[in-house]
Amino acid sequence: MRRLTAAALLLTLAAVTSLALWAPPPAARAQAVDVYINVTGGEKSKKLNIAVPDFTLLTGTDTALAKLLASVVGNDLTLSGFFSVVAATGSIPANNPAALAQTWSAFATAGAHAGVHGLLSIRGDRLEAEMRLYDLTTPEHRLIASRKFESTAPQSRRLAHKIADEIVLQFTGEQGVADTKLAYVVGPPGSKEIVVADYDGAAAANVTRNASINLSPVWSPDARSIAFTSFMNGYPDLFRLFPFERQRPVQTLASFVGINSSPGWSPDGRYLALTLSKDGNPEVYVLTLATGVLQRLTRHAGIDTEPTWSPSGQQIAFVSDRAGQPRIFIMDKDGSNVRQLTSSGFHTQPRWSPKGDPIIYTQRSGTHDLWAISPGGSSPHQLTSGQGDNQGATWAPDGRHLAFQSNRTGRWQLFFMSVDGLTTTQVTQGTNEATSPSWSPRLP
Amino acid sequence: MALPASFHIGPALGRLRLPLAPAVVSAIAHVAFFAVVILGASVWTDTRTKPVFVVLTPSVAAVGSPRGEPAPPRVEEAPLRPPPTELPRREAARDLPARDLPSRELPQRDSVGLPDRSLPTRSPAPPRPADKELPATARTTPTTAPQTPIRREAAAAPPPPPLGAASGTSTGSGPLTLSVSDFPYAWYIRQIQGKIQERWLGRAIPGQQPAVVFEIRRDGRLNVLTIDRSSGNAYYDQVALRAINDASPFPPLPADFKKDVLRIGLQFVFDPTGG
Repeated sequence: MRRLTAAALLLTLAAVTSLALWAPPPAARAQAVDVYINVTGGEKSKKLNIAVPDFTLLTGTDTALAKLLASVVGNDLTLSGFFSVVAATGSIPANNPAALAQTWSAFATAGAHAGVHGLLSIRGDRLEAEMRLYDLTTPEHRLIASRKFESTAPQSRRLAHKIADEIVLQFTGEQGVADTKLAYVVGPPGSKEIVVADYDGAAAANVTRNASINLSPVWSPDARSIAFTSFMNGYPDLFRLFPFERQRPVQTLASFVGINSSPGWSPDGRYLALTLSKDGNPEVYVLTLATGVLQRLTRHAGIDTEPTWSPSGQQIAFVSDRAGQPRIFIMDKDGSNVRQLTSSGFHTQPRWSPKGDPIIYTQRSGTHDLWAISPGGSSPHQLTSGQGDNQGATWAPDGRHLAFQSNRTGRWQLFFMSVDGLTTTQVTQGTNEATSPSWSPRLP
Repeated sequence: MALPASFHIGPALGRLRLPLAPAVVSAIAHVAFFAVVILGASVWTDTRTKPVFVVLTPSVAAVGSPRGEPAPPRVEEAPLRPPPTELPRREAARDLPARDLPSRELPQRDSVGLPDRSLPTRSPAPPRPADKELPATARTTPTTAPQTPIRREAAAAPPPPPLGAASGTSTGSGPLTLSVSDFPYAWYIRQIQGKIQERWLGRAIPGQQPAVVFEIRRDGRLNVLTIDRSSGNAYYDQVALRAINDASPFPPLPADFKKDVLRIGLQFVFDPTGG
């Protein structure tokens, strides 16, 4: 009997051991998926409804500022194209979780998917703001992210822009473009000055005051300087100004005989493509900024101008009328391998997307309108139509938005457009005309 | 009526010898048998959890709704809440007190806005009594597509939260078994879906679609991207992979999600009705 028991025990042990050996290796389990999702083709993703109540004042008494910050953040989120802002009034009391929960519940009922709780401390000239972003689609109102920002009182709008950009990052994976500037030309005929404003047109300020003609501002890739053409010395020469350094003088980039114009920065900021007519007719050159060395890229009897770099820095698109009417061409950065991109039409002002695709240009056929074409030459399509002249596009650094000038309201003003052409917003409203916008890279 | 003198109750049984050895053998044999059955079952079902994908109605987010073997029914506890200080106004769908304690690991509850109440989820942390309230519809609704047509707004509503570690059975034997799904960040999933959907939209083709597995790093960048189950058509597979590639970078991973990468199983579903 004992022997039988022992045998049975052994048998059991053997069975258990062998089963243990069959168990899957731990590696297989480490590969486990954290979450499963579906993606269906059939509809475009909708805008996210977001609530931005007035900021909560922790220190200080400037409730107008608390209100302003919320409204700037809300406007930024609207302009981003990702959000639809749920109307809100009033602020959330400080340190009151119950009130916070109640506020979010009310917003959730109103259809909000997310809520922004801004907390503001004003200490003299210093501003500190904290942004807390909540998910309102679940009853827990889970905190998505929180971040603190600092600024000075005169820079309060930038504080709001930075908060908006952070919110866009949290939802899209890429920072927004609210903390950027627009440079553009303002003025009645006879005098044109360059103005720098927040990207939304607010806080505009002159950066030239020479009562001359100043044209075609273009931001450098580090967002610290602006290249432009000016007649301040009597001839169209190319200069560079530093809008954030009051004491720094304007630098002369090119003052050759003839026209010095159409600056186009290379993506790394080391080179400037430009148009010079010093050798007779306008040709495209590349200036190495560190050394002042000039290299000629085009050699043609026709006009070659308006160079724009590909984001890789390997190619340059430009305008040439060598085929009769002006068309868009592409060449390698050393001037070789020239090929024609657009055909049949009157095409100027090429602007290569910072994301690589597409290239925007202006087509004249009766009126001027914006068109887009892939750098390979396929699928040209019209972005504006039937609303006056629309031209002079400039890319936002995210490659999703454009600013341009339009006379659809009777005088030239600046507008925004999503690159799909679906939404357009007027940016400038002044009595003077606003033209030739350049959208800055994200500010440092 | 006297009983026969020889009729004794106690002593007769007392004389019976218990068959000890056979009993032991029998016990061991039973233990061995059940060990084999249980371990065997776990081996067959636990090996490399096959990513199986929940298919909800078009355009409704499906975040790990399990259709595995239902967990043993739980006792519905009466909602024990903390003394109501200032409870937010109650709304039809949102009757849970939300608190401003987002960083705390609150047990995940069923989401609002979707009729698809599959298994309620719980976080691995032992739920506090106040949070144990379970939705009344738990487990009464099949996890298949909801019968009522979902309004378009429902697309923006949150997907059902993923299966908590404690719910369901870890060795589920149903056709759909999730391994781990402690990712209760509904907004994050929604954003990822939206981004990929946008990129895939123009290239979606009717037919069998692939399932892919990919990873997102903490900073939102794409880490690994593979076909988990081919559509049988290399071109469709490539279109799906490219949609994910083009959609990256994704939002940074939620701060309180502790892993270095988020691993996602994704099923592309072509919807000929246009969503």
